[in-house]
Amino acid sequence: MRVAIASGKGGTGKTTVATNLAWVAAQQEKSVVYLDCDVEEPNGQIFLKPIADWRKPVTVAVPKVDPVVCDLCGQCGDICQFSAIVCVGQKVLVFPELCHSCGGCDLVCPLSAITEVPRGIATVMAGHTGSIRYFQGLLNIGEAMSPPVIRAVKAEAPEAELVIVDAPPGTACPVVEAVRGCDHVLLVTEPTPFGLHDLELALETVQSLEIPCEVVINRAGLNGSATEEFCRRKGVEVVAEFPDSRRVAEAYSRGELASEGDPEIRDLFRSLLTHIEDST
Amino acid sequence: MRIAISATRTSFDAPMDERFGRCPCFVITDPEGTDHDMVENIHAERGSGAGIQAARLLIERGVSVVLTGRCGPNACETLAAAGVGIVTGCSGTVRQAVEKYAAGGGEPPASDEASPATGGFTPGGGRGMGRGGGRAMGGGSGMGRGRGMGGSKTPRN
Repeated sequence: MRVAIASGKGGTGKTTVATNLAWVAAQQEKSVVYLDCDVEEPNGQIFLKPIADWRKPVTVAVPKVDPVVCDLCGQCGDICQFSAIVCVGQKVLVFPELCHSCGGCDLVCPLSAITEVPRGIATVMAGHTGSIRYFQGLLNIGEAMSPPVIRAVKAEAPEAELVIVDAPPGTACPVVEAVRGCDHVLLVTEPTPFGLHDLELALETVQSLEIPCEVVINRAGLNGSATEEFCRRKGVEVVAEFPDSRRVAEAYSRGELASEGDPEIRDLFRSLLTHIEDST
Repeated sequence: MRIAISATRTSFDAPMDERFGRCPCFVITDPEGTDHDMVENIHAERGSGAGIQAARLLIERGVSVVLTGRCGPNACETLAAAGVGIVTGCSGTVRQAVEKYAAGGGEPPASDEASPATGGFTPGGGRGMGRGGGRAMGGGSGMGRGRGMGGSKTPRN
Protein backbone atom coordinates (compact mmCIF):
# COMPACT_ATOMS: atom_id res chain seq x y z
CA MET A 1 0.00 0.00 0.00
CA ARG A 2 1.33 3.37 -1.04
CA VAL A 3 0.15 6.42 0.93
CA ALA A 4 1.11 9.97 0.03
CA ILE A 5 1.14 12.67 2.68
CA ALA A 6 0.51 15.99 0.94
CA SER A 7 -0.77 19.47 1.68
CA GLY A 8 -1.37 22.66 -0.17
CA LYS A 9 0.22 24.99 2.33
CA GLY A 10 3.74 24.29 3.53
CA GLY A 11 4.49 23.80 7.19
CA THR A 12 1.18 22.16 8.09
CA GLY A 13 2.82 18.97 9.32
CA LYS A 14 3.32 16.62 6.37
CA THR A 15 6.64 15.36 7.61
CA THR A 16 5.36 15.13 11.20
CA VAL A 17 2.47 12.93 10.06
CA ALA A 18 4.59 10.92 7.61
CA THR A 19 7.45 10.15 10.01
CA ASN A 20 5.21 9.31 12.96
CA LEU A 21 3.04 7.08 10.79
CA ALA A 22 6.15 5.28 9.55
CA TRP A 23 7.39 4.84 13.10
CA VAL A 24 4.15 3.41 14.54
CA ALA A 25 3.88 1.04 11.56
CA ALA A 26 7.46 -0.14 12.12
CA GLN A 27 6.65 -0.65 15.83
CA GLN A 28 3.97 -3.09 14.70
CA GLU A 29 6.65 -4.96 12.74
CA LYS A 30 5.28 -4.02 9.37
CA SER A 31 7.68 -3.57 6.48
CA VAL A 32 7.87 0.17 5.92
CA VAL A 33 9.46 2.19 3.11
CA TYR A 34 9.68 5.95 3.55
CA LEU A 35 10.13 8.11 0.45
CA ASP A 36 11.01 11.72 1.10
CA CYS A 37 9.85 13.31 -2.14
CA ASP A 38 10.13 16.87 -0.86
CA VAL A 39 13.38 17.03 -2.78
CA GLU A 40 13.93 20.75 -2.34
CA GLU A 41 14.13 20.25 1.37
CA PRO A 42 13.91 16.62 2.46
CA ASN A 43 13.63 16.74 6.24
CA GLY A 44 12.25 13.31 7.09
CA GLN A 45 15.84 12.43 7.99
CA ILE A 46 15.79 14.87 10.89
CA PHE A 47 13.19 12.73 12.65
CA LEU A 48 13.91 9.24 11.33
CA LYS A 49 17.72 9.63 11.50
CA PRO A 50 18.53 7.05 8.85
CA ILE A 51 22.02 5.66 8.40
CA ALA A 52 22.88 6.28 4.76
CA ASP A 53 24.13 3.24 2.87
CA TRP A 54 23.57 4.05 -0.79
CA ARG A 55 23.49 7.04 -3.10
CA LYS A 56 23.15 7.71 -6.80
CA PRO A 57 23.24 10.88 -8.90
CA VAL A 58 20.12 11.91 -10.81
CA THR A 59 20.76 13.20 -14.31
CA VAL A 60 18.54 14.71 -16.95
CA ALA A 61 19.23 14.85 -20.68
CA VAL A 62 20.07 18.26 -22.12
CA PRO A 63 20.96 19.17 -25.70
CA LYS A 64 24.49 19.70 -26.97
CA VAL A 65 24.89 21.34 -30.36
CA ASP A 66 27.69 20.50 -32.76
CA PRO A 67 28.59 23.95 -34.17
CA VAL A 68 30.32 22.40 -37.17
CA VAL A 69 27.18 20.56 -38.33
CA CYS A 70 24.64 23.24 -37.28
CA ASP A 71 23.55 25.67 -40.02
CA LEU A 72 21.68 27.98 -37.59
CA CYS A 73 18.23 27.20 -39.02
CA GLY A 74 16.67 27.91 -35.62
CA GLN A 75 14.10 25.10 -35.63
CA CYS A 76 15.36 23.84 -32.26
CA GLY A 77 14.57 27.21 -30.69
CA ASP A 78 11.16 27.37 -32.35
CA ILE A 79 10.01 24.06 -30.89
CA CYS A 80 11.32 24.66 -27.37
CA GLN A 81 8.53 25.93 -25.11
CA PHE A 82 10.95 26.86 -22.33
CA SER A 83 13.55 28.91 -24.23
CA ALA A 84 16.15 26.37 -23.20
CA ILE A 85 17.70 26.50 -26.65
CA VAL A 86 17.75 29.57 -28.89
CA CYS A 87 19.50 30.53 -32.08
CA VAL A 88 20.77 34.12 -31.97
CA GLY A 89 23.31 35.80 -34.16
CA GLN A 90 25.79 33.17 -35.27
CA LYS A 91 25.31 30.94 -32.24
CA VAL A 92 22.93 28.44 -30.72
CA LEU A 93 22.67 29.06 -26.99
CA VAL A 94 21.64 26.32 -24.58
CA PHE A 95 20.29 27.14 -21.12
CA PRO A 96 20.46 23.73 -19.43
CA GLU A 97 18.62 24.80 -16.28
CA LEU A 98 15.53 25.69 -18.34
CA CYS A 99 15.50 22.38 -20.25
CA HIS A 100 12.67 19.93 -19.51
CA SER A 101 14.45 17.11 -21.40
CA CYS A 102 11.65 16.54 -23.90
CA GLY A 103 14.05 15.84 -26.74
CA GLY A 104 12.06 18.03 -29.15
CA CYS A 105 15.10 19.97 -30.38
CA ASP A 106 16.91 16.74 -31.18
CA LEU A 107 13.89 15.43 -33.10
CA VAL A 108 13.36 18.51 -35.26
CA CYS A 109 17.01 19.20 -36.11
CA PRO A 110 17.24 18.45 -39.85
CA LEU A 111 21.01 18.01 -39.69
CA SER A 112 21.16 15.88 -36.52
CA ALA A 113 23.49 18.45 -35.02
CA ILE A 114 22.03 17.90 -31.54
CA THR A 115 22.94 15.14 -29.15
CA GLU A 116 21.60 14.70 -25.65
CA VAL A 117 24.09 14.71 -22.81
CA PRO A 118 23.46 13.97 -19.14
CA ARG A 119 23.45 16.76 -16.58
CA GLY A 120 23.50 16.00 -12.86
CA ILE A 121 20.78 17.82 -10.90
CA ALA A 122 20.33 15.85 -7.70
CA THR A 123 21.23 12.84 -5.58
CA VAL A 124 19.01 9.99 -4.46
CA MET A 125 20.06 8.60 -1.11
CA ALA A 126 18.93 5.50 0.73
CA GLY A 127 19.41 4.40 4.28
CA HIS A 128 17.80 2.48 7.09
CA THR A 129 16.44 3.40 10.45
CA GLY A 130 15.43 0.37 12.49
CA SER A 131 13.24 -1.64 10.15
CA ILE A 132 12.27 1.39 8.04
CA ARG A 133 13.90 1.64 4.63
CA TYR A 134 14.43 5.32 3.91
CA PHE A 135 14.88 7.04 0.53
CA GLN A 136 15.21 10.69 -0.30
CA GLY A 137 16.01 12.92 -3.24
CA LEU A 138 18.00 16.09 -2.79
CA LEU A 139 18.26 18.69 -5.53
CA ASN A 140 21.65 20.28 -6.03
CA ILE A 141 21.76 23.88 -4.84
CA GLY A 142 20.44 26.21 -7.51
CA GLU A 143 18.46 23.53 -9.36
CA ALA A 144 14.71 23.94 -9.76
CA MET A 145 13.55 20.88 -11.69
CA SER A 146 12.18 18.52 -9.06
CA PRO A 147 9.83 16.15 -10.96
CA PRO A 148 12.64 14.02 -12.47
CA VAL A 149 14.16 13.68 -9.00
CA ILE A 150 10.84 12.63 -7.47
CA ARG A 151 10.46 10.05 -10.25
CA ALA A 152 13.96 8.76 -9.48
CA VAL A 153 13.17 8.39 -5.77
CA LYS A 154 9.94 6.52 -6.49
CA ALA A 155 11.66 4.28 -9.03
CA GLU A 156 14.17 3.09 -6.43
CA ALA A 157 11.58 2.17 -3.81
CA PRO A 158 11.02 -1.52 -3.16
CA GLU A 159 7.55 -2.85 -2.40
CA ALA A 160 6.49 -2.98 1.24
CA GLU A 161 3.40 -3.39 3.37
CA LEU A 162 3.41 0.36 3.82
CA VAL A 163 5.12 2.82 1.47
CA ILE A 164 4.88 6.38 2.74
CA VAL A 165 5.44 9.20 0.27
CA ASP A 166 6.27 12.51 1.94
CA ALA A 167 5.17 14.89 -0.82
CA PRO A 168 6.33 18.46 -1.40
CA PRO A 169 3.91 21.28 -0.56
CA GLY A 170 1.89 23.09 -3.19
CA THR A 171 -0.35 21.92 -6.01
CA ALA A 172 1.95 21.98 -9.03
CA CYS A 173 3.96 19.39 -10.99
CA PRO A 174 6.12 18.19 -8.07
CA VAL A 175 3.04 17.31 -6.02
CA VAL A 176 1.35 15.59 -8.94
CA GLU A 177 4.53 13.59 -9.55
CA ALA A 178 4.73 12.57 -5.88
CA VAL A 179 1.12 11.44 -5.41
CA ARG A 180 0.75 9.81 -8.82
CA GLY A 181 0.40 6.04 -8.49
CA CYS A 182 -0.40 6.17 -4.78
CA ASP A 183 -3.38 4.24 -3.41
CA HIS A 184 -4.30 6.89 -0.93
CA VAL A 185 -3.56 10.53 -0.15
CA LEU A 186 -3.73 12.21 3.23
CA LEU A 187 -3.98 15.97 2.99
CA VAL A 188 -2.55 17.60 6.08
CA THR A 189 -3.96 21.01 6.89
CA GLU A 190 -4.00 23.48 9.73
CA PRO A 191 -7.14 25.32 10.85
CA THR A 192 -6.13 28.75 9.56
CA PRO A 193 -7.59 30.71 6.64
CA PHE A 194 -4.38 30.12 4.69
CA GLY A 195 -4.45 26.41 5.49
CA LEU A 196 -8.05 26.13 4.34
CA HIS A 197 -7.42 28.11 1.17
CA ASP A 198 -4.60 25.82 0.13
CA LEU A 199 -6.44 22.69 1.24
CA GLU A 200 -9.13 23.57 -1.26
CA LEU A 201 -6.55 23.79 -4.05
CA ALA A 202 -4.79 20.60 -2.98
CA LEU A 203 -8.07 18.71 -2.79
CA GLU A 204 -8.94 19.78 -6.31
CA THR A 205 -5.53 18.58 -7.53
CA VAL A 206 -5.78 15.17 -5.89
CA GLN A 207 -9.41 14.65 -6.91
CA SER A 208 -8.55 15.41 -10.52
CA LEU A 209 -6.01 12.57 -10.29
CA GLU A 210 -8.82 10.32 -8.99
CA ILE A 211 -6.92 9.11 -5.95
CA PRO A 212 -8.90 8.42 -2.76
CA CYS A 213 -8.18 11.23 -0.38
CA GLU A 214 -8.82 12.21 3.22
CA VAL A 215 -7.94 15.12 5.46
CA VAL A 216 -5.82 15.30 8.59
CA ILE A 217 -6.15 18.45 10.70
CA ASN A 218 -2.97 19.30 12.52
CA ARG A 219 -2.81 21.75 15.43
CA ALA A 220 -6.56 21.35 15.82
CA GLY A 221 -8.27 23.71 18.22
CA LEU A 222 -6.46 26.78 17.00
CA ASN A 223 -9.50 28.12 15.26
CA GLY A 224 -13.16 27.49 14.54
CA SER A 225 -14.66 24.69 12.52
CA ALA A 226 -14.35 26.17 9.02
CA THR A 227 -12.12 23.29 7.93
CA GLU A 228 -14.58 20.64 9.12
CA GLU A 229 -17.43 22.47 7.44
CA PHE A 230 -15.49 22.65 4.22
CA CYS A 231 -14.73 18.91 4.33
CA ARG A 232 -18.37 18.08 5.04
CA ARG A 233 -19.48 20.18 2.12
CA LYS A 234 -16.97 18.47 -0.18
CA GLY A 235 -17.77 15.00 1.16
CA VAL A 236 -14.19 14.43 2.32
CA GLU A 237 -13.60 12.65 5.58
CA VAL A 238 -11.48 14.18 8.33
CA VAL A 239 -9.69 11.05 9.53
CA ALA A 240 -7.51 12.49 12.26
CA GLU A 241 -7.12 15.63 14.32
CA PHE A 242 -3.87 16.23 16.13
CA PRO A 243 -4.14 18.71 18.97
CA ASP A 244 -2.26 21.99 19.06
CA SER A 245 0.10 20.67 21.70
CA ARG A 246 3.18 22.21 23.22
CA ARG A 247 4.64 18.75 23.81
CA VAL A 248 4.41 17.94 20.10
CA ALA A 249 6.01 21.27 19.21
CA GLU A 250 8.84 20.67 21.67
CA ALA A 251 9.52 17.18 20.33
CA TYR A 252 9.51 18.61 16.82
CA SER A 253 11.96 21.36 17.74
CA ARG A 254 14.34 18.73 19.10
CA GLY A 255 14.02 16.60 15.97
CA GLU A 256 12.20 13.86 17.88
CA LEU A 257 9.14 11.82 16.96
CA ALA A 258 6.19 12.95 19.06
CA SER A 259 4.65 9.48 19.09
CA GLU A 260 7.83 7.97 20.54
CA GLY A 261 7.56 9.95 23.76
CA ASP A 262 3.87 10.79 23.95
CA PRO A 263 1.42 7.88 24.38
CA GLU A 264 -1.60 10.03 23.50
CA ILE A 265 -0.10 11.11 20.21
CA ARG A 266 1.08 7.56 19.57
CA ASP A 267 -2.50 6.29 19.96
CA LEU A 268 -3.75 8.91 17.51
CA PHE A 269 -1.21 7.77 14.92
CA ARG A 270 -2.05 4.10 15.55
CA SER A 271 -5.73 4.84 14.92
CA LEU A 272 -4.85 6.74 11.78
CA LEU A 273 -2.75 3.81 10.55
CA THR A 274 -5.56 1.35 11.27
CA HIS A 275 -7.98 3.56 9.43
CA ILE A 276 -5.74 3.74 6.35
CA GLU A 277 -5.24 -0.02 6.35
CA ASP A 278 -8.97 -0.65 6.64
CA SER A 279 -9.90 1.76 3.88
CA THR A 280 -7.54 0.40 1.20
CA MET B 1 22.23 53.02 -33.97
CA ARG B 2 19.06 51.60 -32.43
CA ILE B 3 18.63 51.78 -28.66
CA ALA B 4 15.96 49.83 -26.80
CA ILE B 5 14.71 51.01 -23.41
CA SER B 6 12.57 48.85 -21.12
CA ALA B 7 9.47 50.93 -20.42
CA THR B 8 6.25 50.87 -18.43
CA ARG B 9 4.22 52.34 -21.31
CA THR B 10 4.62 52.88 -25.03
CA SER B 11 5.65 56.50 -24.65
CA PHE B 12 8.92 58.40 -24.83
CA ASP B 13 7.99 60.15 -21.60
CA ALA B 14 6.90 57.01 -19.77
CA PRO B 15 8.82 55.89 -16.70
CA MET B 16 11.32 53.17 -17.45
CA ASP B 17 10.64 49.67 -16.24
CA GLU B 18 13.66 48.50 -14.31
CA ARG B 19 13.00 44.91 -15.36
CA PHE B 20 14.27 43.78 -18.72
CA GLY B 21 12.54 40.48 -19.53
CA ARG B 22 9.22 41.27 -17.90
CA CYS B 23 8.72 44.91 -18.82
CA PRO B 24 5.43 45.49 -20.69
CA CYS B 25 7.08 47.22 -23.65
CA PHE B 26 10.24 48.57 -25.21
CA VAL B 27 10.82 51.96 -26.75
CA ILE B 28 13.30 51.71 -29.60
CA THR B 29 14.96 54.94 -30.67
CA ASP B 30 18.24 56.50 -31.79
CA PRO B 31 20.68 58.41 -29.51
CA GLU B 32 19.13 61.74 -30.58
CA GLY B 33 15.74 60.58 -29.33
CA THR B 34 14.06 60.91 -32.71
CA ASP B 35 12.37 58.15 -34.69
CA HIS B 36 10.64 56.23 -31.88
CA ASP B 37 9.38 52.74 -32.34
CA MET B 38 7.18 51.11 -29.68
CA VAL B 39 7.33 47.36 -29.24
CA GLU B 40 5.02 45.43 -26.94
CA ASN B 41 6.88 42.77 -24.97
CA ILE B 42 4.65 39.81 -25.73
CA HIS B 43 6.90 37.60 -23.58
CA ALA B 44 6.42 39.52 -20.32
CA GLU B 45 4.07 36.92 -18.85
CA ARG B 46 5.96 33.80 -19.93
CA GLY B 47 6.48 31.16 -17.28
CA SER B 48 10.15 30.81 -18.09
CA GLY B 49 12.62 32.32 -20.52
CA ALA B 50 10.95 35.74 -20.68
CA GLY B 51 14.28 37.54 -20.77
CA ILE B 52 15.67 35.27 -23.48
CA GLN B 53 12.66 35.83 -25.72
CA ALA B 54 12.57 39.57 -25.04
CA ALA B 55 16.22 39.66 -26.07
CA ARG B 56 15.41 37.85 -29.32
CA LEU B 57 12.61 40.32 -29.97
CA LEU B 58 15.08 43.19 -29.82
CA ILE B 59 17.80 41.37 -31.76
CA GLU B 60 15.33 40.75 -34.60
CA ARG B 61 14.63 44.49 -34.68
CA GLY B 62 18.28 45.36 -35.12
CA VAL B 63 18.79 46.86 -31.67
CA SER B 64 22.46 47.40 -30.77
CA VAL B 65 22.17 48.77 -27.20
CA VAL B 66 19.72 48.05 -24.39
CA LEU B 67 19.13 50.52 -21.54
CA THR B 68 17.41 48.90 -18.58
CA GLY B 69 17.43 48.62 -14.80
CA ARG B 70 18.33 45.01 -14.36
CA CYS B 71 18.95 42.22 -16.80
CA GLY B 72 18.98 38.54 -15.83
CA PRO B 73 21.87 36.25 -16.68
CA ASN B 74 20.11 34.37 -19.47
CA ALA B 75 18.87 37.54 -21.15
CA CYS B 76 22.35 39.05 -20.88
CA GLU B 77 23.91 35.98 -22.44
CA THR B 78 21.40 36.08 -25.30
CA LEU B 79 21.96 39.79 -25.97
CA ALA B 80 25.71 39.39 -25.75
CA ALA B 81 25.66 36.48 -28.22
CA ALA B 82 24.21 38.86 -30.81
CA GLY B 83 26.67 41.62 -29.91
CA VAL B 84 24.05 43.83 -28.25
CA GLY B 85 25.43 46.21 -25.61
CA ILE B 86 23.72 46.24 -22.22
CA VAL B 87 23.54 49.21 -19.87
CA THR B 88 21.95 48.33 -16.54
CA GLY B 89 21.14 50.56 -13.59
CA CYS B 90 19.22 53.08 -15.71
CA SER B 91 16.25 54.90 -14.18
CA GLY B 92 13.88 57.81 -14.70
CA THR B 93 11.86 58.26 -17.86
CA VAL B 94 12.72 56.77 -21.21
CA ARG B 95 13.67 60.26 -22.41
CA GLN B 96 16.00 60.84 -19.46
CA ALA B 97 17.69 57.49 -19.95
CA VAL B 98 18.37 58.19 -23.61
CA GLU B 99 19.62 61.71 -22.89
CA LYS B 100 21.91 60.48 -20.17
CA TYR B 101 23.22 57.73 -22.39
CA ALA B 102 23.83 60.17 -25.26
CA ALA B 103 25.54 62.65 -22.91
CA GLY B 104 27.87 59.88 -21.78
CA GLY B 105 29.21 59.53 -25.29
CA GLY B 106 26.63 57.23 -26.76
CA GLU B 107 29.12 54.52 -27.37
CA PRO B 108 27.73 51.04 -26.86
CA PRO B 109 29.67 49.13 -24.25
CA ALA B 110 31.41 46.11 -25.64
CA SER B 111 28.94 43.32 -25.29
CA ASP B 112 31.16 40.80 -23.61
CA GLU B 113 33.22 43.04 -21.37
CA ALA B 114 32.29 45.53 -18.70
CA SER B 115 33.14 49.05 -19.75
CA PRO B 116 33.91 51.97 -17.42
CA ALA B 117 30.90 53.53 -15.77
CA THR B 118 29.91 56.88 -17.21
CA GLY B 119 27.35 59.40 -16.13
CA GLY B 120 25.90 57.38 -13.32
CA PHE B 121 25.18 54.34 -15.40
CA THR B 122 26.26 50.96 -14.30
CA PRO B 123 27.35 49.16 -17.41
CA GLY B 124 27.98 45.52 -16.79
CA GLY B 125 29.29 42.70 -18.84
CA GLY B 126 25.96 41.08 -18.18
CA ARG B 127 27.05 37.67 -19.14
CA GLY B 128 29.93 37.52 -16.74
CA MET B 129 27.94 39.01 -13.94
CA GLY B 130 25.01 36.70 -14.28
CA ARG B 131 26.67 33.43 -15.04
CA GLY B 132 29.16 33.85 -12.30
CA GLY B 133 26.60 34.37 -9.62
CA GLY B 134 24.11 31.86 -10.83
CA ARG B 135 26.14 28.90 -11.80
CA ALA B 136 28.68 28.93 -9.07
CA MET B 137 26.08 27.60 -6.66
CA GLY B 138 25.24 24.61 -8.80
CA GLY B 139 27.88 22.17 -7.78
CA GLY B 140 30.86 23.85 -9.22
CA SER B 141 30.04 23.65 -12.89
CA GLY B 142 30.22 27.35 -13.39
CA MET B 143 33.06 28.46 -11.20
CA GLY B 144 35.36 29.15 -14.10
CA ARG B 145 32.79 30.91 -16.24
CA GLY B 146 31.94 33.76 -13.93
CA ARG B 147 33.48 36.93 -15.22
CA GLY B 148 33.13 40.62 -14.80
CA MET B 149 31.87 40.76 -11.24
CA GLY B 150 33.65 44.04 -10.69
CA GLY B 151 32.18 47.30 -11.82
CA SER B 152 28.53 46.39 -11.41
CA LYS B 153 26.36 46.58 -8.36
CA THR B 154 23.30 45.46 -10.26
CA PRO B 155 21.58 42.60 -8.45
CA ARG B 156 20.62 39.55 -10.39
CA ASN B 157 16.99 38.98 -11.17
